[in-house]
Amino acid sequence: MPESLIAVGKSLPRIDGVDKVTGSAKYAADIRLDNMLHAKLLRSPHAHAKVKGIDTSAAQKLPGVRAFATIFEVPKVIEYWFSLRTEKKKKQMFLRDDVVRFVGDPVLAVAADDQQTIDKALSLVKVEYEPLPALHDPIKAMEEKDVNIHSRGNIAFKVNKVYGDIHEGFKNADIIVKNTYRTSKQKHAALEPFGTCIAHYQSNGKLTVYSSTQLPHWGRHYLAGALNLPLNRVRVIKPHTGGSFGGRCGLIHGLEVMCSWLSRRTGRPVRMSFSREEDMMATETRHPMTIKMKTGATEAGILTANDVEIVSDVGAYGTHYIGVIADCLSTGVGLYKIPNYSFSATAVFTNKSPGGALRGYGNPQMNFAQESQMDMIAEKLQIDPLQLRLKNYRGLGEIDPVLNQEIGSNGLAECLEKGAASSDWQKKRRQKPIKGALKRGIGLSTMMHGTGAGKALPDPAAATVMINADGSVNLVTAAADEGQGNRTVLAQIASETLGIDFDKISVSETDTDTTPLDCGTHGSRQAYGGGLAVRAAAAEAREKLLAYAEKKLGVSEDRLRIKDGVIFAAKNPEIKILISDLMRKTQIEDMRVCEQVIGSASGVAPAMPGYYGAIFAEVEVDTETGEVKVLKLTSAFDVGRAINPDLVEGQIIGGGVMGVGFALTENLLLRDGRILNSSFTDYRLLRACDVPEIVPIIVESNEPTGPFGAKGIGEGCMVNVASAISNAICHATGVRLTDLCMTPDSILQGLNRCQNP
Amino acid sequence: MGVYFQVEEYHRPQDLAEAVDLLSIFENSARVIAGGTDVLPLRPGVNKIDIIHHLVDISKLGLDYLKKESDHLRIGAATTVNNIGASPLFLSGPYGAMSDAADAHSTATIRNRATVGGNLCNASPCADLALPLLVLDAILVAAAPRGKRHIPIESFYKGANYTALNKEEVLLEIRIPLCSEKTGSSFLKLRRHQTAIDMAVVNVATALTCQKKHCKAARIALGSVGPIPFRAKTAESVLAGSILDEEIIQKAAATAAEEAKPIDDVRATSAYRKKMVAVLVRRSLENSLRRCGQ
Amino acid sequence: MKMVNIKIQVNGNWYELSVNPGDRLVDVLRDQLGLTGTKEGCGAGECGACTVNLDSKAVLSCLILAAQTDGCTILTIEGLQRGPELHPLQKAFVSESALQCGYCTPGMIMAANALINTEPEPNEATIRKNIANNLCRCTGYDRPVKAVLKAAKDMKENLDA
Repeated sequence: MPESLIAVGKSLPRIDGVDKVTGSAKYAADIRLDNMLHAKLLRSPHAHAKVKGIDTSAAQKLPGVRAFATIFEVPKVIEYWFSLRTEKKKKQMFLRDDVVRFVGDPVLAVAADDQQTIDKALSLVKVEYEPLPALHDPIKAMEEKDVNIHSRGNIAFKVNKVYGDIHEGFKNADIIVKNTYRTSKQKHAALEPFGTCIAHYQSNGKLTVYSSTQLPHWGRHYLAGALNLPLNRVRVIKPHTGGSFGGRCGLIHGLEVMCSWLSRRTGRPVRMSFSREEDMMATETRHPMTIKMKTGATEAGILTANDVEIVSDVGAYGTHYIGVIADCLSTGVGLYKIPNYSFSATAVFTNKSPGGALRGYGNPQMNFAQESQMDMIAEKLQIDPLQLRLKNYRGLGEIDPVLNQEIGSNGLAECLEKGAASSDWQKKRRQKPIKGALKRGIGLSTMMHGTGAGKALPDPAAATVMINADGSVNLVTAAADEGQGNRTVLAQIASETLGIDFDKISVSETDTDTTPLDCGTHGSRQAYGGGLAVRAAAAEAREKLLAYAEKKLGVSEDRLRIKDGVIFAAKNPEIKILISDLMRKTQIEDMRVCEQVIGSASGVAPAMPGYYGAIFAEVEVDTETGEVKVLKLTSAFDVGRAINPDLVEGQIIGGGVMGVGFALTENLLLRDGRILNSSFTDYRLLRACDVPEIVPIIVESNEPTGPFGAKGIGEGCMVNVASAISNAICHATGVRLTDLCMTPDSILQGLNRCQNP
Repeated sequence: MGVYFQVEEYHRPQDLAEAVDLLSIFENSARVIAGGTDVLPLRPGVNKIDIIHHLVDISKLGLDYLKKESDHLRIGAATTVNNIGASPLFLSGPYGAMSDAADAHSTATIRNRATVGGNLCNASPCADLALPLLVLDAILVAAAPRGKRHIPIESFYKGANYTALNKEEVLLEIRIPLCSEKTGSSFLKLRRHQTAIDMAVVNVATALTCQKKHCKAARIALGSVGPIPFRAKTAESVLAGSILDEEIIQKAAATAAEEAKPIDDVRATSAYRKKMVAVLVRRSLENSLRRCGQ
Repeated sequence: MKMVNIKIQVNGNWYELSVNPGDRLVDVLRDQLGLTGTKEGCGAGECGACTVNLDSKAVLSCLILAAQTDGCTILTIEGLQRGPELHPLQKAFVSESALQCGYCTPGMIMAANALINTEPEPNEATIRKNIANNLCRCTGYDRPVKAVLKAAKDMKENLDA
């Protein structure tokens, strides 16, 4: 960059930091409205049942009970915003029937004056269930003809995509590696449980909903559709959020819609707040997958063919099941240039809690399989796993066949190079094993993830920039900050584009009444898609500002610069005016003008650029107990441009820890559809004394379509942790695990197999 | 979150006599609370219990103390686990198992409130602090309306979450007989992925009294592999009177594993637990041997 | 249900309150006193979001009955800042980029506060042990630990100065 930057590339402190450390930041559960009622759901104890009747007569008599809403009247949202594209598909988004499909599926909601009254009321409600046979195995459910979880059957979605000639591909292969991988039902486990909602349906027919959704505008659409309201009578406000990781990518099953229904019925604000147990057992999880992969390569280490067959366990309801599979396809095919690729996937309903979006979407599952295959190929061919990646990755300038776009930036080689150097890969890979029960190893994996969803889903981004009469700026955006700090990044982009200092930029609340249509936060998209909208809006505002300055100073726009609150002529800096003076004049002083400078932009990003990463994982395996200690992760990620390096590192480290959990400790366990570990006692998250050392390395490949070159980071940073750890375990012990999560018991069994082949 | 705790009446007795009286009066509908870390997670609907009618708070009755007397160590039942972990009384070889167990119990934050009495009386099959007491031949002292009762630790556990205490009794203190210097004890806990808070997958304690490597007495206690924490006496007999070499320690560990009766549950399989008993007992015996004569 | 009268000092102010016997300290702080800085993330003492200081010790306010705190001194996140400047811990969490969603932050800061008050120069291992009850899903704990180290150092320098 020729001139020094004022905001981009700087680790400026996040704009909500002080609010959060003083306890003044308000999250959904901290909001109190006057005259508020409390609400709770009665949830099905059955994995699959018809609800024959609901008798609330005894409960209604309790003093303090105000209203009920049942599934007979209240629709469930069962598809995501792709279905908003047509009227016909939109109708299919809402399901109203008398069937419950998983243990914990809501049957009804009650609103009452306080919590104790609610629990008494729920104990008095009589529900008559007709239990139906429940399906727990997606592979069996696929074949099952007599038990249908949904009216259209048990297959939610099926896709088959072929590139090249798969048979030719295997004919040309010198070696073939074939395995079946199974991944777990991971939960977001954000510190703020999913979820708390306050709905207020006012007497003028306007519904206001406070909810920590990631997608306020799509949430608004879902609510409008469910309650049959026009969009302008639905307002979604997102308070501070205690983490989402994809789990609030829409509405929470049974929460906002039920809450709104009760508010409309009672005319009072209604608050529903799920407990941690409800979060764990009844809100969306990662889609567990069974992935069969057969990969062929030449002796020289060139991949010739990949045959992938996926069964994705959707659970009782979908919303994201199509997107997740599409993600497996695009990230699997996108990363390596395998000329012959057959991808077939079936998303299947089962009577379990719903699958949804979880950081990485379908990529962590796909990546675990594909990167394990890569290492097995490397081993068979006796090639350095790093060289194998370098030989095969799809590089700069090549065409991504799934997204049909040219790869405009690719820092994967640099990630591998820097990561290898930092972790001392070569030396550690060759290290001889030490005597004793503890064995050490190092493994690597790479990944590619898409930034945004512009090629797959409606992905609007919008922003408005308003320059105030004192030269300060209001940035209006619906970007939902779940903790990653995207509102800070957007303020930095606005600051840089305008030339106005970062501390003069204020970012609006996330409120659909005042912010223009933006998809929200998902798919690693805000810095990129949101950033492009902010840059465009700020550029328009800057142009208008300079047009006024041109009139005042008599210097043409293109010869003016902005710095430190002053607009001045580049060649003659004494010809200048304070922004605040200029804006006061044009907004207030000059009564013939009275115009505020406003810049706006709304649209979709021009591409869905891939961002890349390489992780080098070092582990120590206790071969007597099977315990795996992750010693270190060296995580190098190509983010195009780090608008705020601290925030990027925060993602790399946090995503790294979540990835270790996915690899080793996190799995929702079910028996007959009932989740056995719905608390932190048995759903294991890593704590401060458990985490490995994580060394984040930022690589910048300058994405040409991105704002200041930026792409995403939020999901990719956890995508390939499990595969790197698995490859390291294999290096340490010779044990190759194909099921997640990799428990001590499975490692001991693996060691046993190795010793007794 | 809609979470709340339900109790009808909270009592803060002024002294021990009043506490015991209250328990007598309210019988089955009263329970004791000290730190509260095992009581408050019990919520209707979550842990399937009904409302607790009466809570009797014994946390401020002077039951938190650590004393060394001529032939006993005395631990007040309401002593916090952190205080046990920090106490110099347990850092030396003979009683090392106590500080091992205190440190492994949970987190520093919970241990600020959790008491040794609570851990023992909650009587989880995984109770950490029960194991060092089993290998140190501890005696528990309970207060009842009729006076005090001494219960050897081996008779204290009757079943999962079920102790020898009657409804009107309060655990007062734990007495550990002083050991000879030639004793070393150790406690080990296997958790899932060694994360900081967890109930044990398997936990064990051992104590060895030896002259050089000649074993005069051996104690091995196993937790989480049966309905109650217990001593693996067949394994102990392998060691008593023997020279403690690698082979005999392995044999004792393998024998202990055979005495274990674990179940499959959400934390681990019984097969894995059996294997781990052998590993942990062996490692703990090696530690205890090192601590003899320190 | 028999109400219990308690007198507690919270953030320097004495309150006389009438509480339900089953009210937990977190309920009284958030609902009766409106101090919503202390969060609830699990209700079972496992996530640490509800950590406050009770008589200078770090405790989980969801595992303590308000009735048990009669006569006690309680410090919450709202009471940490004395005067116009942020407390060194608060400053350090901001400057070291040690928070993201912020939900675990008040509890983690209060756990660290109790630690530094008893051990003014904790090392990294001690810090990790003492915030082990505070789950964080966002940061991976790395920056929070650095923030506590920095705050402890700053606080010691202030004392020495």
